[in-house]
Amino acid sequence: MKDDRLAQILYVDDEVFNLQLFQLTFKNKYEIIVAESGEEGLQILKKNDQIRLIISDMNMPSMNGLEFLSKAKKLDRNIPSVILSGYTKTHQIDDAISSGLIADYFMKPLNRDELDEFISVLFK
Amino acid sequence: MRTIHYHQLLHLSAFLLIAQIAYSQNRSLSFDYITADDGLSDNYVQYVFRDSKDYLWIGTGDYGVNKFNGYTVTAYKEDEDKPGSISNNSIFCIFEDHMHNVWVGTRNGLNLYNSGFDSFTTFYNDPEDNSSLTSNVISDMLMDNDSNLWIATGFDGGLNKWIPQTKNFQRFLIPDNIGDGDINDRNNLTSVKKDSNGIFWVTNRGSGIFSFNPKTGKFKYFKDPTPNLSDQSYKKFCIDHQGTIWLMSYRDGFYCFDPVTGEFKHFDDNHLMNDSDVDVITDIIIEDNDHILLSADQGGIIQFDKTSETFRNFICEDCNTNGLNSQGVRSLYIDKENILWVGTSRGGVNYYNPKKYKFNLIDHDASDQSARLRNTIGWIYEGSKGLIWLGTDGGGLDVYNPNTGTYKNYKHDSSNPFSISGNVIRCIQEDNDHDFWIGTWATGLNRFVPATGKFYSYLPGNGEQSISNNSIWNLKIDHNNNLWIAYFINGIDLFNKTEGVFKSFRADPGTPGSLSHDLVWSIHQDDQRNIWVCTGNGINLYDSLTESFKVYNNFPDNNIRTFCRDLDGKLWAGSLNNGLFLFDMDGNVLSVYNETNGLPDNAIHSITMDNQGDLWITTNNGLSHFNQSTNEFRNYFKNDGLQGNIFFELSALKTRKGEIYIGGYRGFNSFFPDSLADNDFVPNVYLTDFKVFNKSVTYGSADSILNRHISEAHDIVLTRHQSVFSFEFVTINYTNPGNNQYAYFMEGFETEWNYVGSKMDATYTNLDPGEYVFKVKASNNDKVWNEEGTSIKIFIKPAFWQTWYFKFGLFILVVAGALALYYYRVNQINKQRSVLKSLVEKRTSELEKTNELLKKNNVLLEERQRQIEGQSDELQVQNKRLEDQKLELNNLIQELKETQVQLVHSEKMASLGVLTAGVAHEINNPLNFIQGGLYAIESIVKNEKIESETLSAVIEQMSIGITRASSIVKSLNTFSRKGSLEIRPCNIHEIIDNALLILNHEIKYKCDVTKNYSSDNFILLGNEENLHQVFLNVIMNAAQAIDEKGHIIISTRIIDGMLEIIISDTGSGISQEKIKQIFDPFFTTKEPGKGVGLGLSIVYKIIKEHKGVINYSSEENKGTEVKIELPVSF
Repeated sequence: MKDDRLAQILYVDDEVFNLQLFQLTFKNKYEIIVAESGEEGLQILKKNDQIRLIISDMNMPSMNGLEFLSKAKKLDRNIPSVILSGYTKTHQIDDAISSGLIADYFMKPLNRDELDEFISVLFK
Repeated sequence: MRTIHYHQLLHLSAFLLIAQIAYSQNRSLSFDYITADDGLSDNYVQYVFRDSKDYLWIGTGDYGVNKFNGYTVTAYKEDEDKPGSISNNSIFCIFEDHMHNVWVGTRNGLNLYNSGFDSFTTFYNDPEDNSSLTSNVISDMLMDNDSNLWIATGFDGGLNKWIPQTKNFQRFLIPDNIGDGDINDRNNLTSVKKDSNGIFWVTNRGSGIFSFNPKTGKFKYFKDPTPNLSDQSYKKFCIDHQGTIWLMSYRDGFYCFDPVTGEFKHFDDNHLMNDSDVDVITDIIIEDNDHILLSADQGGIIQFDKTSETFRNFICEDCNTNGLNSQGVRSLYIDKENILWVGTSRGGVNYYNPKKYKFNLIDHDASDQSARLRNTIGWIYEGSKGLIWLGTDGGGLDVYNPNTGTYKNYKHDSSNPFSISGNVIRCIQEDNDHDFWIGTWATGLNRFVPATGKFYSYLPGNGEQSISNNSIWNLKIDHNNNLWIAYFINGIDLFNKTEGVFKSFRADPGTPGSLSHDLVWSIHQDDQRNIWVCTGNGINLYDSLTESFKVYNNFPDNNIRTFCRDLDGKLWAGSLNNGLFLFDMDGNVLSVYNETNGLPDNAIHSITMDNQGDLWITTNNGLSHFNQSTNEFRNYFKNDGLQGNIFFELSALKTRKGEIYIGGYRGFNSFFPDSLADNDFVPNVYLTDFKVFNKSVTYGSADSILNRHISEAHDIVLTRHQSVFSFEFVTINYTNPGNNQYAYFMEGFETEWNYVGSKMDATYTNLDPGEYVFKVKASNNDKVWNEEGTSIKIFIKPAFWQTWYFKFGLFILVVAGALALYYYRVNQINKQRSVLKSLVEKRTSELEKTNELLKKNNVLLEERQRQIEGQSDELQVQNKRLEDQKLELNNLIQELKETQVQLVHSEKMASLGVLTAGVAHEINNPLNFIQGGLYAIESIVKNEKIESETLSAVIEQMSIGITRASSIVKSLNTFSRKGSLEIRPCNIHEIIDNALLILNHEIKYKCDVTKNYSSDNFILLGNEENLHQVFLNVIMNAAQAIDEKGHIIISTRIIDGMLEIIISDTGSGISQEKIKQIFDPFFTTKEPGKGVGLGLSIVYKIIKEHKGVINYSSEENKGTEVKIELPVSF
């Protein structure tokens, strides 16, 4: 029997507007937990063990997306994670995908259907 | 001769001014037709009417009414299932009231046309309602002097007056005590007309006529005293300018009634038709002060001359190809433009438009074979008595009397030795003794003595006593009464009539002063008495003292057919194939006029000068008028009434009265140049259809864009989705409507009119939201424009993101972002630039030191070498080795230098990569706001179950916008990609286009870019990324050199196996001293932030790597041109 509650996703972005929009976009499908920085994201991960996916922006002050995710990995929980960024793909990203740090890379502007499909395959 | 002269037929005093111009030229009756083939609902036409908007209403006997606009017919028929259709197909009368409403009277009901909905409202008799029409049979309509509409009805209906306020009718019946006692249905009316005093005249199916005063409602009866009238019934009548009433009956001719004396006069059908079987008259109208026109079933049109009481009959039997097409004529109508509209029983509408034919056409009946030969007019000549002498091509000599329109024909008769020697006449001249000289083709020369009517022929074969050839091309009597004779192959003869001697002039290349060619086209004498001979090799001017010729043969085409010396003494030569030449007495060709200057054709057949000195030129394609003051040609064609477009060579004449005659293969035309009037009718312009996505828009229903028909609509409101729409329009001009011209323009979108010739529609796509005015204007066939035309307002509603507040917010966002980015970049670049510069300087000085050291070593070595030189071979070998070493060291220096450039290059690449990635990120982020907002809106809409198509479409549009913006960002990737060294086939045009796309923000607001790409196939091998950088740099320089408004032209072509790319701009340019430095690293003319000064040095290096050449040429304040050549294979 499936849990009645919606699956939880952590979304990290330093733009608050982006966080709000992202929540609105997926509010009927997933429970979106948001964080405004990597640090905050790590705090949430430490307390919450229901999160099934981490989506992070790349370019953030003090800690970028990949740094945040590699720290999240060290919390010893194998949560799949992806980067959602306005930058085009770089070698850094390629390396992160091939090393298994992130599962995939999505570009802004957000293609909802593409991301949604990715998530539903992941959660199946 | 059965041609009809129309000037006798239509002389409407009311149009005297037009008429004097239009009708002054003797003309034939030529009709145009509107038939079922053109869409008319039937060819049986009962009634024709032109409304104030110029639409022609055509009522048929049994198949409804038609509306014609000069191009197309719209038919309206009875249809019970269709609301707004006409009540009955049998049309009795059509009328327009003072409010410009068109009324159509039928066998069953009166119909009011509603132009806003292109439909009819019908009024019927209602037995229960005394204010309804008395009868449903509508016979006739008219308007009284107080603008009331009156309806004459049949079936005891009497007169009805329309009350527009209440939309009903007031009845006026002929009382029982008036009129003949034996009339059963005295109120069965047939016709009503108004006289100049405003009194109505009414006829019914009985005899006599009634007057009716619309103010008092009183009728008065005038009994017709003519016997045997009881079975007759008047159908129609008309009232002439003197007040006389002309009445027609069905089967008993027609009557004239004088209301002052009360007298009737009868004209029976014996009067009418002599021996013809015409006995049914169908209509009667006033033609002009002197003439009444009648139409007859099976009898065509009859013109009655009131003064002489004589008849002329125009029937189908008489017609040439343009005559009446049906013997049965049902109705006649003359409109405000003096066009005669004829409704026929089998041929639809026939109409004669006097304005259509500017030229008087005189011809013989083409169906008569012997007469047809006489229609090819090879020569036209005016004799001293004013008769026109026509040389025909096979039909003998025709002498035409322009006053009577009659001919006298002379043909060869082998039994008569004094008949003309042949029937192919080339030329005619009259000498001072009034003998006529006639040159024939193949049958020699004739002398004609008019007094005796005898011809005397001259044939070749007797030396000086005879002509050189029996085929004569041209003749000319000179001032000494000598006859010049031109031959096709035998030069010319000069005949001295007194001595009877022929002197021959022939071309002889060995003899100076001889004729230049034996082919002689024509001989002319100018007003200085000079004799000019046009030949196959230029023009010869005769010198009578030396009996020799001066030759003019410097023309572009020396095959000269004809010559003219004009009033100013200018000399004109008309060539066979290359137009008209203006030349001087010294033989200089001053001007050449041909098709490129406006002549309709380059084959010149004749030149005739009119009294003003203007030239009239016949050609192989129409007649051309050369206006000497404006130096312009005005051309006329068959459409204008010319006999045809091809004219016979040299067949032209100006008479002593100034009338010009021109001859061709279908008769000849005559005209007075002064009286060639253009059509001055200013045509109305109407919109006829409005389409969205190529589909006609319905009107009048609740959800339609238009609330009425487009021709009546004032504005259109469109949404953003109705992005492709078109208009169709028409101008109504019944004179050669095929030559009407149109122009339109969308105010608010365009700044200039689009002149589109005869195109009658316009399409617009993707107009921005806002307010526009669509305007159309049109001209008639003679380019008289209705400048006012018609117009309609268009509003395109904005979507929410196109509203000002949304745009303003977005603008603030973008400006703030751009400013931040700009200052950041300027700072960065300045820093990088100084770092790079010091780095390069450091490296360069290091290299210079090494170089210096090497040079010193080299000097030392050289010195040492000199010391050792000559001592031993071994030492020489050593020396060689040292030299090799030196070479190697030099190579090393070179390599170091290149490394330096590469260093600089990679720095540049890196910085640009960062730049574009940054730009992409900056664009993507705001895009993400929009996209996110979109998803949010969409999900809200879905949750709220708001089923609004509009909102979904709005969202769709937003998505499209985002996709577009994203694709631009993606294209930046091509550039920010890490450089590879791969060499492969490149598409140079794609590379240039991509560079243009990236630089769009630099270019779009200030430069027009013109691309002239080569369509040749070639293969360019190269490094795409590097070439991309080249064009990015060069085009950026071009764009940045342009301050406000300029032009960039990019052209590519293959020349000598190389690809040549030229990029030119109209920018500020570079001075001569600076242009030498442009390829130096760190040289820049730009202000900080616009460039680091490395671009062109890298460009230079890349082009060199591709074994290409790059050259800059520039002029300050004019612009710069960059030429790049790259090797290609094929």
